[in-house]
Amino acid sequence: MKQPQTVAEALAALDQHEITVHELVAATLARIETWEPKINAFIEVWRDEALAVAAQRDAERKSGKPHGVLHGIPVGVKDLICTREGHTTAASNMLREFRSPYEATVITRLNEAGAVIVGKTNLDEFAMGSSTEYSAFGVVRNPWDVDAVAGGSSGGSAAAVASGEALLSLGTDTGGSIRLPASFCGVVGLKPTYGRVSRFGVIAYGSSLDQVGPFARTVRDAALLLEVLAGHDPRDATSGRQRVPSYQAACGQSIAGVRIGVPKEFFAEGVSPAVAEKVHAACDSLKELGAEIKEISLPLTPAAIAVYYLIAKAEASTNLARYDGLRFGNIAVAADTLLEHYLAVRGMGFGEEVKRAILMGSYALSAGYYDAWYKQASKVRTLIIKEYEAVFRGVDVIAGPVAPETAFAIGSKADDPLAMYLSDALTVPLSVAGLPALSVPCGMAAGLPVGLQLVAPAWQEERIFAVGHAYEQAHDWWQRMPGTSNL
Amino acid sequence: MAIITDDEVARMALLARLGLTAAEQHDAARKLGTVLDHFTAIQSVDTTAAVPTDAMSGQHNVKRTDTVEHELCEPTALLEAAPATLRAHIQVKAVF
Repeated sequence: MKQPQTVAEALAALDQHEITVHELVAATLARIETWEPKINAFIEVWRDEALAVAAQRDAERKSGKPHGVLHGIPVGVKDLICTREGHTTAASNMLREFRSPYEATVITRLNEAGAVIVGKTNLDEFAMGSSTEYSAFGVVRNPWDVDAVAGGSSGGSAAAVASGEALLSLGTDTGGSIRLPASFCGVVGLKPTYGRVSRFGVIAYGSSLDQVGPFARTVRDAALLLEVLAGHDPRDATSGRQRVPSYQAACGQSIAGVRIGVPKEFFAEGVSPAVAEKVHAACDSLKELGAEIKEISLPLTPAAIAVYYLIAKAEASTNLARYDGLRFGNIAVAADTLLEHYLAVRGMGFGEEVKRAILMGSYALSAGYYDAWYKQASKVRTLIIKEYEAVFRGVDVIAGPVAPETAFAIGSKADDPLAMYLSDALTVPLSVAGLPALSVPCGMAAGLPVGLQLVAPAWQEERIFAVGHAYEQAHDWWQRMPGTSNL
Repeated sequence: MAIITDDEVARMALLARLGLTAAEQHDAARKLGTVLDHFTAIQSVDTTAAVPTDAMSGQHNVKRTDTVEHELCEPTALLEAAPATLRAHIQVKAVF
């Protein structure tokens, strides 16, 4: 039979005994063998482990015991998330050999739901980057055009789902690291509300910003995965106690009368005309589906990039202090003093972008600069949060582009950090405000996918699932997959 | 005047225990200068009425029962994950 393209199709095929978990996982591993030489989406493929789990899942199905909602579904996991199996590298030389003695809560929840993890996906080192070019394990290439970036930092997770190397994957999003690669690779990606998903066992980048979230081919599949991941975890003090609704139930709800605000600042200078055209067309389509579209203004949008980077890098500079070659990091250096040891290990273990993050963060936090940079950024953050609260009194959902452009050429921004940071100009405002935001494919421009970003108030993910699903089902973008003829 | 000099980068690198070559320091100063120059725009935002956002969860005094969770400190798992072991102990580098 044809390999299922969505989780819904795969679960139906498994339940109807048209396919076994072993066949599904073996077909997924065959896709990985075909695509990996060109796209490098995985750091580690768990071939033998996945086949063993698949056999166990088939036995569970045969025994007739009740099973979880992702039973038998192949999933990729960003290699920033701790697993007991294999290594957890954060795509850094610092953690190249690191094996975690425990697993993240999201991994426990995946396993309890019956998923089959097929491997650990590639990323920008310590999740710092917008292209997955800053990985110690090589660049991830876009399945739609292998000369273009996959977006970052969860580029491997996005490319894996886009190419069919997994039906679902986990990413993390600090300033756009799920939404940007989802947009560039033409898949669905969600950054949940800050606190919606446990971060226990996830290597920290910016602790007031980080969230784990799903990649999927359809909005409904992403909704299903979020239902598995979401909910309070006593091991993460920042995880919220809010009720987790049925996100799948939101998929299919009418969007008649839903008020959608389109911020004019999301179409400012720097946004490519092709992207603007596709996103405006998507808004027209939402109007035809019954939504009420109105222009809104979020004047602090241009300030968000500085706010985000100053805060994220400040938090990163403290979070990364533990990688010192004694607590974490196993790099052999010749040193006579402890200071020499630290300098050598950290100088060798970190790549350029991570070093830049540590320097910028240390600068923003240091005496003499703290008030002008970090404290000012934290105050502007408050104003941005209030700006979104005010706008959401008049609209239910906000819509705009995910990124100012489509996937750019590999190497075109790797040596220009400001240009790279500006790729996140339209994702970081929502990160700073802690809001849930969904990327949904909304067309192609010059052969590369464009993403529509849908934003809801905190804890209201069901609103963007409803709007995203309605849009998706009115079009066929989600059915398109990159062909191996691109290789 | 450069917004961040090579000497300031060297001072930050030492504070952060980050070994950089002279070429890396110079390159970092140049690139960080470009980024920070762009970021100076936030200093013109009027924040006189704003308090800093220090925490995002909105929660206060989060507590849990102080109990040992054995699966998180399972000695065998820890030893299996350690890069080097000696007689059921984790082997580490000598402390200076």
